[in-house]
Amino acid sequence: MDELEFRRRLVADPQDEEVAKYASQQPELQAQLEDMRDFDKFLSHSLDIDVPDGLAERIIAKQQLLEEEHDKVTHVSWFRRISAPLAVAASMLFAAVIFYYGGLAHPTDTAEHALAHVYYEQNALEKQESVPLQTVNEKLAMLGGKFDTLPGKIVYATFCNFKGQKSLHLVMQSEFGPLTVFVVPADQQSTQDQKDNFSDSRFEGLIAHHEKANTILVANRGAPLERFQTEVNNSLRWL
Amino acid sequence: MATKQHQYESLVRAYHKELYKFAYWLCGDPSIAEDLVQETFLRAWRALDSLQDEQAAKPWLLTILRRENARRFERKQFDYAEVEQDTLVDDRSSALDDEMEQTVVQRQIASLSAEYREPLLLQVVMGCSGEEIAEILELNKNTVMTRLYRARNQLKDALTTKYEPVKGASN
Repeated sequence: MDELEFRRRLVADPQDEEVAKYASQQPELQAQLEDMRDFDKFLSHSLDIDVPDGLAERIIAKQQLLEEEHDKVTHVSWFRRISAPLAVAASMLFAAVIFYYGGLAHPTDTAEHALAHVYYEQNALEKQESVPLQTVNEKLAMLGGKFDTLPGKIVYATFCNFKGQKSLHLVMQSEFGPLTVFVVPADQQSTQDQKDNFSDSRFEGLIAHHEKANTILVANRGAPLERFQTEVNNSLRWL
Repeated sequence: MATKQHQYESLVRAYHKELYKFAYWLCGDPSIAEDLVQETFLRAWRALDSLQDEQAAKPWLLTILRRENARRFERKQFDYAEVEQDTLVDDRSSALDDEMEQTVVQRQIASLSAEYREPLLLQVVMGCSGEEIAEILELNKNTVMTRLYRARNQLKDALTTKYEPVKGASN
């Protein structure tokens, strides 16, 4: 290595060990090395920006949400192909998987989660094929509930992990477009009856807290959410 | 399945910070940087079986991230990069002088052309070797070393020129 090469390699990579060895022979080169390493430390310090809190958890939660979606697709096709007892067994297994993953999910704000959830499963909003009352009730029974009548034409009914909790995710078609309903069994803390509205540029939502469960409705902006909420709650019975 | 999940989570925990910083300096916007990192890891999850060697994880993730960033330009949805660099802030509690100095450096790095900035970021932020940078950028190693040399020289020159008139005036 000559001095020209030394200089070239030092500037290209101040951490190069061969360069350091060469510099140790001459104090002047050693000074250049230290100068360049200081500059590098300064650069690395300047580039060391803050990483948003909870980023790793958000990344993992997103992947798990997509994974559940994938599992559900498999799940629905099972229901079509095999008879009821097996389907119930598969459903319980699926619920167990969701329950297991639910414990790992990152807690986010309910409204935010509901919107993100709807966006993730946008395909469900376009479904037209009706899901029979019996299928919906088979699932709802696992949460301890029952619909007397369907509050609309249900086109999608599946278990979901809602903020770490096993819940029922329904989509029905209304004259105001698709309406998403999450039925989330209430935990001990949220038993008081109250309502919260939320929205973004596309959807509006309404959270209703009840003794047995919270129902979260999400529909296109301008849909009569209060009316839908009443219809859903009037037809929902808890055992 | 459990093993794959486990492998994925350790990958996320090991690399998300560095990748976020790299993405941030690539696009200059915190929320785009987060999207890029999210998308990178989702793609990594789908393709996890193709990662044979854990040692190769970093260049592999960086290659995915750069591809995602390029896709952003293909879609032409955003044109944030190369602008908004004026708004860069660092909110850590360091001395004011230090912060100002940092901002000056950040601006200078942002104003380097992409062909110089990228190898430098890979080296300084990601700790990649010359060989790894060559692999990620699909260049030969000599080209990489030349670019690193020029990048550091340009930065040093720019920063020295910035400070010298001030020093001169005080004499």
